[in-house]
Amino acid sequence: MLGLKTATRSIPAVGFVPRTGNVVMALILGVLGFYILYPIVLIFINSFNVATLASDPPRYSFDNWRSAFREPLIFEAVGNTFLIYVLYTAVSFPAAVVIAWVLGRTNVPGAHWLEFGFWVSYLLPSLTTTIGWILLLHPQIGLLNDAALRLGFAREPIFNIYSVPGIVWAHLVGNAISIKVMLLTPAFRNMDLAYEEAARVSGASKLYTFLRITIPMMTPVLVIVFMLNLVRLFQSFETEQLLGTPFGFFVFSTLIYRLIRFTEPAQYGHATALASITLALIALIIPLQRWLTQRRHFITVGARLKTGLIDLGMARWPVFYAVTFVVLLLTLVPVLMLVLGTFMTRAGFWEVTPVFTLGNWSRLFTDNLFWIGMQTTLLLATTSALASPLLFSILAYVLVRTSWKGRAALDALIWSSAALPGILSGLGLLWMFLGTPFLRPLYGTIVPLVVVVMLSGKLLGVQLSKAVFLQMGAELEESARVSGAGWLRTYYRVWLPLMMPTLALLATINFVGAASAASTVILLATKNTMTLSILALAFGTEGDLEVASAISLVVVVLTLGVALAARWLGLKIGLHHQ
Amino acid sequence: MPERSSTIDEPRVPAPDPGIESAGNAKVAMRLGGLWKTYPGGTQPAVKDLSLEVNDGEVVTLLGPSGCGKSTTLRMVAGLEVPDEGNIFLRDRAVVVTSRRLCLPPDKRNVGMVFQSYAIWPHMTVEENVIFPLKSRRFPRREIGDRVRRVLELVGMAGLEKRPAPLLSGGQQQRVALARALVTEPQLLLLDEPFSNLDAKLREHMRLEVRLLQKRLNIAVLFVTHDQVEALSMSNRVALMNYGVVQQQGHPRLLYEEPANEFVRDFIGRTLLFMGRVQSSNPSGQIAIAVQGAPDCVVFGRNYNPGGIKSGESVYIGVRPEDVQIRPALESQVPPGMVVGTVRTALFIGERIEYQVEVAGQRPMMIYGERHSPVEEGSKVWLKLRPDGHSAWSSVW
Repeated sequence: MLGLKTATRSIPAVGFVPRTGNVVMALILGVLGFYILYPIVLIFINSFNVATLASDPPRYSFDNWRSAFREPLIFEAVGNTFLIYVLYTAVSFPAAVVIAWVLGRTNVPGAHWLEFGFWVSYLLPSLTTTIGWILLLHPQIGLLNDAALRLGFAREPIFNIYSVPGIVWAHLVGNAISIKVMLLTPAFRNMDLAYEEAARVSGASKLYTFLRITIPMMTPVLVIVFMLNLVRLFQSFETEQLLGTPFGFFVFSTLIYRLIRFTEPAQYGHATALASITLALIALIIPLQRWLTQRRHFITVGARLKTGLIDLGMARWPVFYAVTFVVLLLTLVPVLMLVLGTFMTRAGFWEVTPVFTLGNWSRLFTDNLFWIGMQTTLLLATTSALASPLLFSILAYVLVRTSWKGRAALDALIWSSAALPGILSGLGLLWMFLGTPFLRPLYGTIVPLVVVVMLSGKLLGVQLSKAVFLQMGAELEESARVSGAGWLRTYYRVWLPLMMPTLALLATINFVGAASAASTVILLATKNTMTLSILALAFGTEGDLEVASAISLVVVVLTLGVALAARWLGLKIGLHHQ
Repeated sequence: MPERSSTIDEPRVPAPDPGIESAGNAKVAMRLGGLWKTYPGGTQPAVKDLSLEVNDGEVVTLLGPSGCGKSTTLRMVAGLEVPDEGNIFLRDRAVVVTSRRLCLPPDKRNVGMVFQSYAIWPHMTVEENVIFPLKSRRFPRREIGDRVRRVLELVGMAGLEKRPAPLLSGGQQQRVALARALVTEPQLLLLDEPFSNLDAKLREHMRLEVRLLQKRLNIAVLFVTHDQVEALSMSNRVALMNYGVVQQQGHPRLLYEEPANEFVRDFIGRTLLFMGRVQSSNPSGQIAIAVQGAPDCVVFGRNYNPGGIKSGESVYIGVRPEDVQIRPALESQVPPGMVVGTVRTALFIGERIEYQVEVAGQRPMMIYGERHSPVEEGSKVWLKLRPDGHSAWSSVW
């Protein structure tokens, strides 16, 4: 024989030979499915469990549901959730459309910096801006009320942030406007100017062109942005916890938290019933959202895209000042108030002697809880920053580059999980860790927090990574494989270096998200695994605004510091990354 | 013989007096006077002192390489750019007079424009796209239906009124763009490289259709392209631009046969440059030049350089490739009036064969030969130049 080696694969006589892809996909779906679906299933099941304590053997009946339906607070909470969302969306959406149009399509000066300002606003934790604005609009100690009274503009406090308008305002100056501006501005910028020029040459005025051409052509993008934001409907927690709870105003997330943490005995039954109602509503929204966002929309950017800016003429500078004012309200104003609050003996009290003190900071730095919080936060944020981008890029690779069966299910799972409010993830995982014998010892450790924080933000992470893979094309990998590299080598020698900017961006976003996470971890955290955000929330709820401000400031320095350092290191954060 | 065109060295048509609102000549559909435009941050003007007229029923093409200022000029006429200096008149109406700070916005100029990307609004149907200018300009409702129907028939899109724009092919989009531009019967039609997005065959077809349409409507057209075949075949006049300046304008044949300078010579078609020596010249401007290396071969040409050329001077003879015949050399003795050379490469390109020929004392030449009479690579050939109709240049560039 010639000694030729032929590669043969022995075919088993009977049975099914699983292909690698199917095995890996089954593993991914299994793990993610377990993490995402199992807690949901547990929530549903436990809504029928009428055992008083979690450690008791379960007893099933409809009692929870019956009493839940009789409890007006539950439906009120759901209604309040919608109310707040509708109110802040009704204001933030048109405002964001106008701002995005200004930044993306006109020659307003400093558009670059203004857009960065909205990015900073997005990165600022909502806890930070809420506390900052409490210090301005608190009915008794708010600076604006104080100024109005002293200057004689009013005899009584004008503003009360502990109200529905106050909560709506806190959302507006939090993320509500900035996230929409960030999503819409690139879309406005990329619209081919020729469409508007054709309208102008055809006889349409600037306003007519804006209404009949620009807005209708942007409608698909507007719908997408609206739907992406719909998931935030049930996710809001910190703002309502700080501002709503004091006057008995509950939304779905704060009521669940109260039922579990502040009711004796803990009302798991009602909490899970409320959670189940919410899940049912979310289940209705998700397919609609997916259908709308995946439809082909007709704004195509052709090869001959003409970009150009619309001249605002005399209105350039007034518009600049107006947008700058908005940016300042969203960023500098709350942060400055925080700084002020940390140095006042009693925030808002100017008659106290001394007015200013370092005592709040020394109280904080000598409190062991702070250092536990710092340690936990840093650990969570760093783990999330390092591990999550890699994980998401692998998921994105599976979705884009393979033809394995089950990708549609994986995509749907990732998408759906984004709609799951943090508090429900926390609740479900709480049940999972408490109710599963081999997981119970992990409750009270940092492990559940790491898991939940690592897997947060997977939708954005996977979507961004997918976009990069699609853009880079298959040939880069194919040439590596043809050159003899296996999958692993190709991944770390070809894909990872090319994806580094995206991974670094994701790392930054995940770091910031993990550092400021509250609702996802609040039910799983214990005294020894407290995060800084939860600590700030606790102090804020108890009225210790000075220390709450100090902790929030530390979180801001941490998160913004990392983001700015990343930008300084040359990462294209926010402005160019779409 | 077409009239001699204006060049950069001849006195240009003086700009109309800015104090006169009316251009005074109803035959002129558009007049540009002394237009200047520099973009912010630009070191050189994009358009320098440009003057141009387009008469009713005429197609005038702005031709030139990328960045020469042709699109900028078109956009200034449309109102999409504001000139730094100069005047624009449409028929008898002043739309831009910079000295008076007059600059009408685009919606007030009543021109029709077809964009390079067509800019057909994707959220509208064909009908809605075409109706848009009529509604914007507040045409009476009773007229709208009729106008839309007529113009869609004109461009061959009748029956497709309700089709959504995203479902149109490239050629259909272009027709709709034309219909939209023509529906208000503007006095001037602006075409901004409208064929560049079409494939070759469709491009040829649409060029013909647009030209026929233009003749039928007798509408004035200002056309921008970088494709010289388009420019030469479609235009009554061509203005060739480079670095913001019109290098030569006139009938296409004039630019082809009597280029005003080296840029025009080299941009329009292909030119072979034979080195030679001037033997004599006559008062009419004709020069007799002996081809270097072939003293028996004397051809006649005109000098288009401003400085003139003296007897005995070395010059370059500009010869179009189609004015040279190539034949296999039958014997070693070169017949009088022929130039001998050697074929280095022969490329069959379909309708002809292109030969790269080396001639002693000359640069390598690209000569065209008939496909039915191929010549082998490496063989000796005789080149017979047309006796006259060439140009003489004192330098390559």
